[in-house]
Amino acid sequence: MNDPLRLQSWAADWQAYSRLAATEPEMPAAPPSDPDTDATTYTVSATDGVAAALLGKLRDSIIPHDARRAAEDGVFVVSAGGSRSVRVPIVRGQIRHLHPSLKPGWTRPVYVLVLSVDEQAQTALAVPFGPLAEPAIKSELATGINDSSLAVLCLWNITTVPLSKLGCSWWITDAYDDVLTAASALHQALSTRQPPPESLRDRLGAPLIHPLDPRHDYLDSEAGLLSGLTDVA
Amino acid sequence: MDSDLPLLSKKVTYWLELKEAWSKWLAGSPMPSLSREAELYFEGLALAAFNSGLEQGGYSDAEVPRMRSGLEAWSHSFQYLVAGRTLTGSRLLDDLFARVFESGGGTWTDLDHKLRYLESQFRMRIRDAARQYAGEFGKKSLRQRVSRGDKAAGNENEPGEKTMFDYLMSVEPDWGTELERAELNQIVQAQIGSFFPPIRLPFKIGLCLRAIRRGRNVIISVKEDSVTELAGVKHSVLAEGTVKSMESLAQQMRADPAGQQLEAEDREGAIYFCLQGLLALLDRSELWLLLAEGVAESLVLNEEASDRKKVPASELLDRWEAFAQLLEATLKEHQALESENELQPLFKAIEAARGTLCR
Repeated sequence: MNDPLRLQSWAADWQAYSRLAATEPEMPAAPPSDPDTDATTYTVSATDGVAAALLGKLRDSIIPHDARRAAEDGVFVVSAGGSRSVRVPIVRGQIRHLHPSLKPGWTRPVYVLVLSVDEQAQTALAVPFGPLAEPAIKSELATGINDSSLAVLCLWNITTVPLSKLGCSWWITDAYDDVLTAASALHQALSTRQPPPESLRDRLGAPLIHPLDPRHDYLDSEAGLLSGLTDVA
Repeated sequence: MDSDLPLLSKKVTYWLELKEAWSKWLAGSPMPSLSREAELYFEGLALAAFNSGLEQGGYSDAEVPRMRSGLEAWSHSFQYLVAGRTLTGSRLLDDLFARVFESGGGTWTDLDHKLRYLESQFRMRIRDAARQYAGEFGKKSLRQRVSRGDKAAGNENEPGEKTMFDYLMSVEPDWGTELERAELNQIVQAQIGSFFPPIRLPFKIGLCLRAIRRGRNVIISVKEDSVTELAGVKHSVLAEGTVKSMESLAQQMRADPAGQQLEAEDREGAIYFCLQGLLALLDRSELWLLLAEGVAESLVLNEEASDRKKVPASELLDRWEAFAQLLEATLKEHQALESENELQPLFKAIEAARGTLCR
């Protein structure tokens, strides 16, 4: 993307994106807790029975994330030590939509590409997709995937995530070989401090030179997107 | 609340209707129509949120015309939320519902709160759809906007043909003759010598992170706990203050006689001068960190602070240590340490300061 016009287009998009983020509608204040209500089971007083039933319907309509579905289906693996864990097949190349409870601070749906899996360590390298339509910097890759939420892969924000957490997600699709190969090649170049492969030049963002470039603000806002994931029930 | 109960129940049915239609679409059928009442509800939500997205996103009515009806807004929202997301649209509603309904109680009050929360989340998705719509409708060139880049380029009041974005892409580090560059460098160093020391400590830390990002291509988030704890401010304050420090230097350099002369005679030179100043500021910040000047500085500042702001010195050193460890781990991971011992002065200074405390 070594093209000032595309960089300008990125900047205009970022400007709108950040302005919208700064004016996000406030979350309505939570109601006071009701001693008659059990948070997990919706056991409620008789007068609120209809409300609980309606909430139950809404909750039941949610397609469970893959780890929950595996647990419901009784798909477990037992370790040598005898501990039982849910088995979600996480493999290289999957594109997954992470469950929002993994990080309550996320303000948008978060999608990742599984770049590699370390079975022994029970972790995977997950690359998040960015929120904008164009790659911002040289470590972002235009995927060419025909879905606006999967347009850009942020290799610079790659994170090692435990498989137990990554399973709390919905499988969306498997990436084409082209995307996977390009992402791996860029990751390899970045992790060995080599320049990106020449073949990817037109799919990457522009170099970041100026300390006041607004792309720094974007990096500040996106950095650590996948760090500190919490446990999901 | 009692008079709202039927409305609440109805809203639930609208959402369930939408969810069911969505599921049918996911299963490969065309999206079924919703009941007229449900359509009106979602059209109302879409109209307000879509136009608010255009407004808050900074698009004037002339650039991107507002939606004139709920039907138009809902059609566009649907286009961007679903049809433009043939893959990720599949779990969009599940994501929203999971945010709202997977915890909490089951009273009418809870239901009311959750529905308002759901609407608020849905409005955010529609505002995002509006941003994408605006982007495709007619991307707004930065030539038409006064941006931070323009301010840094010094053309805030007289936007010329080129903006900072052009310069970001084109400024060559070998501007001018060697002699000219050496002369400017002397002025730059003098500027930094007086500009750097009074910068507030949190923003010096922010500048260090920018220096590491620029020089070593390693991005450490200002949101990291060990960063914000050491800085003693929120990450947003840290990020904003860091940028303001750089903007202030850029302004100072433009006011310098050399900056003014270059501005009048050689605009590329003026940009080069400003850029070199900012890069020198980052270099100075990195040195401040690596030579552990910051450790001593923070202890002195803490000593002078009011009782309310003061923290035990040992705790301050713990924060430095956590920050240094984060730095070491991240730089190692990215093979970006210049030598094995590069961070030793920092660790040693922390250790020495602890020793002094014990005595």
